[in-house]
Amino acid sequence: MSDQAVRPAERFGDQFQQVLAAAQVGAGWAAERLWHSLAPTVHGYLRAQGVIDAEDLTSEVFIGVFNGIGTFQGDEERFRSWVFTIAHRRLTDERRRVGRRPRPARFGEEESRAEPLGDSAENTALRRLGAERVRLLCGRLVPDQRDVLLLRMVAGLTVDEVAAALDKSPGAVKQLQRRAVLALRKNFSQEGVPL
Amino acid sequence: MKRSGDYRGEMFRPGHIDDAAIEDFFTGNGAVGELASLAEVAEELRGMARGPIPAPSAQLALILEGAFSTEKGDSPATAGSNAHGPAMAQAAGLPKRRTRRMLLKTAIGAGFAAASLTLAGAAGALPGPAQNVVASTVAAVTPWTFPEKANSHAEHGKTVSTDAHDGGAHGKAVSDAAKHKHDGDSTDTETTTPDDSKATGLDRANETPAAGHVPTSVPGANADGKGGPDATGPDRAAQTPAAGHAPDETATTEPQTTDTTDTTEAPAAETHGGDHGPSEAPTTDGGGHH
Repeated sequence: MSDQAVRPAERFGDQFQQVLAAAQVGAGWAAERLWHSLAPTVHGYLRAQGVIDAEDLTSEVFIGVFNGIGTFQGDEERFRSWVFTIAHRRLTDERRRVGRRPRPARFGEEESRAEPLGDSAENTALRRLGAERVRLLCGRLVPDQRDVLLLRMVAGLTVDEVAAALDKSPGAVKQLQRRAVLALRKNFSQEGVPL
Repeated sequence: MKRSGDYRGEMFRPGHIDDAAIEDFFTGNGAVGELASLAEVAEELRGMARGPIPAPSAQLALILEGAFSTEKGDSPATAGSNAHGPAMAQAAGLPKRRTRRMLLKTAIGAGFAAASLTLAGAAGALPGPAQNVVASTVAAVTPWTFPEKANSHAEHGKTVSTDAHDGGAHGKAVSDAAKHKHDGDSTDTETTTPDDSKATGLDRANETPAAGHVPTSVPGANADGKGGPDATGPDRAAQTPAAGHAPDETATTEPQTTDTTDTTEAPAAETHGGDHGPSEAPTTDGGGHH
């Protein structure tokens, strides 16, 4: 069984330690490369979690990242996991601040700023509809299940990395992801409307 | 028997889903079997991670430009988590930018201090040893020459000579000191330093190699009042062994005498003249020993 997750964002590979070392001493170019590499994923994760102003929260996450990067030690995988640990904790703080369960962003609220250029209006509308429906489906999950599902699917973390980010055991994460998939399938089937 | 129109992937059928199918779903290897219906959902979720780069906030933009300033000041803030990152207390090291700023301030301060010291040295306003060090350093590393402080003996000579020419302002004090000396009290002579404002000309003269030739009394002590507070240089000069050889006009003597104070012959002025300034004449062209 493969536990290797999909990594949609830029990977640094052998260059990671150089970029990290430069960012640790305040090099702007290195901070910018890390931002370009991980910001879209963090932003997508927060949008999927229903954060209304995901852009601002993404910036707050990376301010926390660059504040603590001076003492970070580890490889690229650990760095990625660490970034999403910060993202998840900022998300938790945001939920507490708002004082209510996360609700999906209103239709088009975030998508209007996140649309790639050069797409047709029809495809854009369909994609917006699909993204909105996915967010609604995820919003019906239990928070722990939703966290595991999105950290694995959007952030691309492994079971162990998700366990570390959520401060849970790998076994608990596996159980949560299984239940999340079953609940997602059930909800999707009951709606009966294809994406 | 399979019913027509039933597609396995589209129907929800509660049942067991093996771990391999779940893992494939999450890793993107394909939502097959029981999870085939969720393939589009999985693709939509993964697509969320491939969106455009969001616009950074103003505060983050400063960090990306290398300013590395945060809402918590220059010091590194605590990391959001130590789950995978730093597993220890945050280091208290200063950012490099702050260290550079401190070094720059120190360099500027040192530059001002060096400039002040050089200017003071150029004006000759430093204490003797410091002035000499600055003068020798400047002479070694630059084409300019700063004045050096005269040694203590030359200083004595200059002081005594000035006393002799300044109208006898210390005449009475010298006389008193001479009397005191005559009474056998030598403590003051031994402890008084040339820089001491209470030192008399006689005391200073006793510190010279020619101390044995110093007269025990000074003209200022004469009963006729010459050498007293109102006595002038020529008045006192007339009472010296070199009387008769001194120039009549003080104005012609003073500049020449002053010129000799910076020479190594200055101690001689003390020896032969003591308070008798014009007796320096032998060392000058205008001294009268022709």
